[in-house]
Amino acid sequence: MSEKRLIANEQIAPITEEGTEYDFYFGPAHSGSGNFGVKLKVDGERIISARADPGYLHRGFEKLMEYRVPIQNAVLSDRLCVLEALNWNLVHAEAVDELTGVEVPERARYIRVLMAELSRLQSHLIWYGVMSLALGFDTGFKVAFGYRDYVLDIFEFITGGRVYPAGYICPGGVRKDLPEGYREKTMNLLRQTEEMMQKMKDFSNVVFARRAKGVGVLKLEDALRLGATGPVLRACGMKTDVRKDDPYEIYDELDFDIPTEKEGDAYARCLIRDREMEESIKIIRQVLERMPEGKVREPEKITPPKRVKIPEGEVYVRNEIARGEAGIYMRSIGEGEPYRVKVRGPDFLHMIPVLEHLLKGSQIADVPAIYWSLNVCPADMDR
Amino acid sequence: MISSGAILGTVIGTIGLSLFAISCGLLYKGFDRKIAAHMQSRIGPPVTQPFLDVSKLMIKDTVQPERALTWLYNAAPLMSLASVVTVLLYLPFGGLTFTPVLSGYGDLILVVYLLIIPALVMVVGGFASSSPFASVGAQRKMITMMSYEFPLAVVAIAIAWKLNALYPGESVFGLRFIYSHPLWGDVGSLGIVGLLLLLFSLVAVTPGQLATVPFDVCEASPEIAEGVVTEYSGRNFALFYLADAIKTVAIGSLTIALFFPYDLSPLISISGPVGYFIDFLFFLLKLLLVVILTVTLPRVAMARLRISQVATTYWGIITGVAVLGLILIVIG
Amino acid sequence: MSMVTTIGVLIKTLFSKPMTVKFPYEAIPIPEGYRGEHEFDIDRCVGCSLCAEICPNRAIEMVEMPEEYKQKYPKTYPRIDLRKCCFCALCQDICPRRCLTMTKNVFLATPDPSVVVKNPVPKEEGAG
Repeated sequence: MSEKRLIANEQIAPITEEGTEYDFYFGPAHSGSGNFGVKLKVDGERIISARADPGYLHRGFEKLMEYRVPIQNAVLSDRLCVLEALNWNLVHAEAVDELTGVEVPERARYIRVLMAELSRLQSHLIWYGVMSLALGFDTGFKVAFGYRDYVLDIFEFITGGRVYPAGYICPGGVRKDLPEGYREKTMNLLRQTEEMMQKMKDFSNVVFARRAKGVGVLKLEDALRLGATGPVLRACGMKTDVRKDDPYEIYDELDFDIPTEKEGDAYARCLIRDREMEESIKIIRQVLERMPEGKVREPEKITPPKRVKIPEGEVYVRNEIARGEAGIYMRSIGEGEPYRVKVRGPDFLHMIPVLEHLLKGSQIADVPAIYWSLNVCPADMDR
Repeated sequence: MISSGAILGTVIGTIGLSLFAISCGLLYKGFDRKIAAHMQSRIGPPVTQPFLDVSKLMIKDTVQPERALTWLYNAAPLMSLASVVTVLLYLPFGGLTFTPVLSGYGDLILVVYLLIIPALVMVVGGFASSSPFASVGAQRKMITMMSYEFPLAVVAIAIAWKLNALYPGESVFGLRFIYSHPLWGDVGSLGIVGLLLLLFSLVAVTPGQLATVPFDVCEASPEIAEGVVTEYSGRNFALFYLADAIKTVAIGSLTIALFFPYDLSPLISISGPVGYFIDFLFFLLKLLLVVILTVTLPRVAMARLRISQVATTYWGIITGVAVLGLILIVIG
Repeated sequence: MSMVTTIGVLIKTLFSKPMTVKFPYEAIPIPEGYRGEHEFDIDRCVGCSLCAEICPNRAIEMVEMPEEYKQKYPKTYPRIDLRKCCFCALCQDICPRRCLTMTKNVFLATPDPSVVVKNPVPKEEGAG
């Protein structure tokens, strides 16, 4: 019974005969976590320490991007995080636009914001679904994923693909114009989403409040020290959002609020998620009203790859995606392909330092609640 | 001396009842999934899906963990199924016309004790699996079991006390007696409130016994990857599945025997074989309603509770409600 | 209290129409512009190989035609490997002669591995 097992050059503690501590793998082969493992040391129901185990989803994006020209990288940037593909498209397109210095047309910027907010709405619906799944609330899971499909119908209508829009937001604008009838379809979708939120509102009090209150409390100074961003930081009481602090596209012309809460526990994050969905719906309505006419791409045709040249320079662009603050650093030495691309995903800091800090001292029963309340996406942590 | 005819009758009755209870339990599990699906605005699997599940599980390999205690690991599902069928032999299944197969050999107290065995055997099987997930699940199931036994005992005793007060001298714990003397008409208005509170306690205890939401903390898949039954696969898991289906029928029958033992044929004054048949169908209908109320509705409307919340709910709220019901029944 | 309203919501949903679309007996109509299988018009192609250059996954390879077609189609033409293709439609956008288009056919799963690599064939023998 007290044999040592070596796992990937890391020795884990031997299972002693007298102690009540044992190792518990909330790991990749588990129905409650994504592509990510956490090694827990447990005593009864209490967790003594946690060690995150990243790397199961590493695909080498930063190197892959060095061999492709920007329009090809736009197709690749969908896959940085499949749950919010259009948001990552936007970050990448802005980085290339700043390097090349192109002036994006007005209509394209409005379309970009429309698609980014739709993607944020869809990502928060997924968050609702998996948070319900973690708490054992089956109805929330099924209903949220059912209503998410209506958003995917809109994506199919506009971009040609349900989950992967294939670089719809590309450097210079968007790839093609909005088809006829998009306005009625989008207004219909907003009405359906609001109906779902109304239907589920009573369930929040009964379900989420009982399991998520007081669980996974993150204090503000810890959040700033460990590097949390986005909804996780806003739940601790800090009113910060890249769309307001450092506006990009047309966000400075739109009117929306930044929801914040003070407690910093899982329930506060759930409340913020619901209010952010309402804010996204507000933004989409304003964009639909104010959509101007014009070109959607500058230049209109795709340049053949052999003739593409990105001017020399380096740039760091940051955006507010559904999970937090995302950034891309791009450096070019004058060739067609970027010389170095560095992707800063919000989940790297959420899933390793913040998660380990929150899991210490909590119960096993709270592990899924804490884990999924941070809205983790192993894809943009591992890249 | 027991005659050979009686023994033969018991054996045939047991086999027949088990087969019927298996089919009924699996069919009701299918109904539960279908109705839950429609409540979530989806379609759900066909009603015969649990039959397909069990037949698929029966033909799959049984994989045993390396360090499991083999004899205990393999015996646990069998004991679970056997004990739950034994419980069913004492309950009046299908109305008053059908005598329980082993009536006269056991009563309500024995049934309440026998209901502990399936859960206990699952705990033992979980510990014998030598997997951390199963150990955590088994610990949780032990705590759940210890918590819901007290309200269950209070409900049983309350019903028997009142029957003893009304009909002194009879054997009030015998299940045939309980079934033929429903209490709703014999108590005052305070007693009716008391009976409702006791019914509420029994409805709250049932998800704990059947390990469904909100008390399914021992098999919480996002936390401990199926918990107690993590390491079970193939035929062993099929036996646990069948035991779970029969337990649903058994506890539903117990609820009906204690609270809704009305037969339809005296009301519409049909007797004879047609009357028996109508009684049987009425019993099945009541069983379906009980299953929907105790299993489906909580599963769809609520989330899973933490183990500490399970303990405080059962020891605090549900016990309080049951004791209040007992007091009200004694007074009224 | 909120428990009662939740049960009311559930009962109401129980009797309304489910959201499920019973695929394959019914289907949501696929809109125009969906990026499905490619359709290649070989008579318009000039062999500029821009599609092969732009493909991010290098799924397009320019090949020569087999002997019997070499006289009518002397240049190199794209061969599309559907296993590598990510259906991004960059090849459709960049083609200057508009001979490569994406259809709405998404039912591409097949147990037959020989149809996965699409050779350029003339129109009479079926779609390219």
